[in-house]
Amino acid sequence: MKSSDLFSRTRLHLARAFNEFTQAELAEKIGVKQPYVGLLETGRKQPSQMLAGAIADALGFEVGFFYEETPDEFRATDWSFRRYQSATAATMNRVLAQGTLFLMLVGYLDVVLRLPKDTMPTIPRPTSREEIERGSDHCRMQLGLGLDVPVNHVIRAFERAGVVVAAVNGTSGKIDAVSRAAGQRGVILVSDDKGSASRRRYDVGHEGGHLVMHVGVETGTPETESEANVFASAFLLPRRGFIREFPRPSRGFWKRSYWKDLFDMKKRWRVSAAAIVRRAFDLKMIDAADYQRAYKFMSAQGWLKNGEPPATEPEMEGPEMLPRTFSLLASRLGISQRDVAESLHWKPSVLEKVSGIPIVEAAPVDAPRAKIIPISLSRG
Amino acid sequence: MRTRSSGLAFTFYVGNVPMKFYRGKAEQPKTSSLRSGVREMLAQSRLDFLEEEIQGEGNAGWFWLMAIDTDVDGRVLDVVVFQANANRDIRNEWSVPLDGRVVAVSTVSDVRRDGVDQEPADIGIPGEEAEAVGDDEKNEE
Repeated sequence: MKSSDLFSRTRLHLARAFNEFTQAELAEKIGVKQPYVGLLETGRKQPSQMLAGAIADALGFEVGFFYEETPDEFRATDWSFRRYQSATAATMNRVLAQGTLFLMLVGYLDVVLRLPKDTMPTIPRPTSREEIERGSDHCRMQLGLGLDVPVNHVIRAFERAGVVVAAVNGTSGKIDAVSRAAGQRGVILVSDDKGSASRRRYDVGHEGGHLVMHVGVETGTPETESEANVFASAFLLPRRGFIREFPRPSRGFWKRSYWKDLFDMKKRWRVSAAAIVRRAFDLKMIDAADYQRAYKFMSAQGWLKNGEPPATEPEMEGPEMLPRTFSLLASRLGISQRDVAESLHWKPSVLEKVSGIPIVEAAPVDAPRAKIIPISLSRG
Repeated sequence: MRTRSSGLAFTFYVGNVPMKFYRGKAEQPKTSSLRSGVREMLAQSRLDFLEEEIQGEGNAGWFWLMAIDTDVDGRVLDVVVFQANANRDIRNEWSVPLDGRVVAVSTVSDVRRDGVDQEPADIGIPGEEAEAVGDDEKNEE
C-alpha cells in the first residue's frame, strides 16, 4: 500500500459507507454542499488540506488514510453475504466497507505476525447435493474433524485453517455474516447482534461453505446461497452421524416428549432444532408432511421468530485468533491496539468497530516499544 | 432396487426378492435375528416371493439377508448377501465388492463418539518457531 499525492475518492466512499452517512449528511458535517461531496467521490475535485482534515475527523480516520493507495476490494461482488431480504443498501454498503477495512487489518497482521497458513480446503463448485455432501466430508477430514461426530468449535476449526474471523456489531440484525476468500486467506465477519449461539455456528458454517466451494464464483444468487446452506447442514450434521442419531418421530411432532429427544440431539450437535428437522427432511428421514407438522409446531411455539428456548442453546462461540493477535502484539512487540490503528491511519474507535474487540489500554511492558509499523508494509 | 418399507423395519427389493439388513457376520447369523426376520416378513404379508420359492424344490423356509460386518468404529468391512433359514443354515453367500466402487458408506454402529477437541490456531512472531498455544497469555502474567 503506497502513499499518494491524490486524495482517494474510493477511500472517501469507503469511509462514508462505513459510517452509514449519506453524502448530504457528510456535507453538513464538513460544511460544504452535498454536490461537492459528489464531486470528491467522483474524483473531479480534490479537497484542500483543511477540508481533508475535516473529512477525516467527521469519518473517524486520520488524514493519511485518504492518501493511501486505493483499495481494490470495495466491490459487493467479491463478497458473500448471508442476509435478509429486508437488509437495506446502506446496511449492505456499511458491512461491505467494514469487510474491506477488515482486510486491511488482516493484511497488517499478516506482516507483523505469523498467522496460520491458509489450508482451508477448496472444491470445484458442486453440481449436485451429493457433491456438496462429499465436499463437506472432504472438508471435515482435511480439518481433522472426523466424519460422524459433532464439530466442537467451528470458528476454531476454520481459524486453524488460516481463516480470520471477527464478530462485529452494526449489521442492524439484517446481515448475519459475510465472507471473502481474499489474497492469502479467507475472512469471515459474523454478526454480534444475534443472541443465538446455534445460529452463529450455522452462519459460520454457511460462510465456510462459500470459502470451500465458491472461490472465484460470484455469490449472492439463490443457487449459491442454497449450496452454502446445504454445506453448513452437512458440515455441522454429517449424514453418517445424523442418520444414526436422529430420533424418529414415531410419537409425532406434537408430543413434547419428542422435542426433548430433539433438544438432546441439539445439545450434543450444537445446532438448532430447526436445522436438525430440516436436515432430517433433506436426508429423507421424514417426509414432507412431517416436516410441515414440525415447522408448524416450532412456529406455534414462537421458536422460529423469537429463537429456541435459551436453555437449549449451546455455549456461544467467539473468534479466538483475532483477540490473541492483539494480546501477542502487546506482550511481545509492545504494539498496542492504538498503535495498530495509527499504523492504518484509523482512529481507535474504527479499530474497535472493525475488529469487534474493545480497545484495552496496555500496561507498560518490557518489550521493545515499537513501533508504528509503516502502512507500506501492511500488505504482503 | 426399490424400497418396500421404510423406517425401522426397512425392507427392500432387489428385483422381486425382498431383503432385510442384518448386522453381524454372515457365517454366524443370530437365531433371534432370523426369527424376527421371518416374523416381520410374515407380519407384513411379504411372503409372495417365499411362497413362490416354496413351490420350488428345496427352497422352503429360505429367505434373503444382507449382512454388514463392521469394525469397532462402525466402518464397513464386508457386505454379504446370503440366504438363511430359521435353523441358522446359510447358503448362496455373495460378497459385495467394495474395492473402489462404493462411493459412500454409512456406519451402522450406535457408538456416539464425542467431537474432536482441537487446540486454538497457532500464531506467533515471524521467524520464531511455532510456540505453544497460550504462551502469549502466559508472558503477560
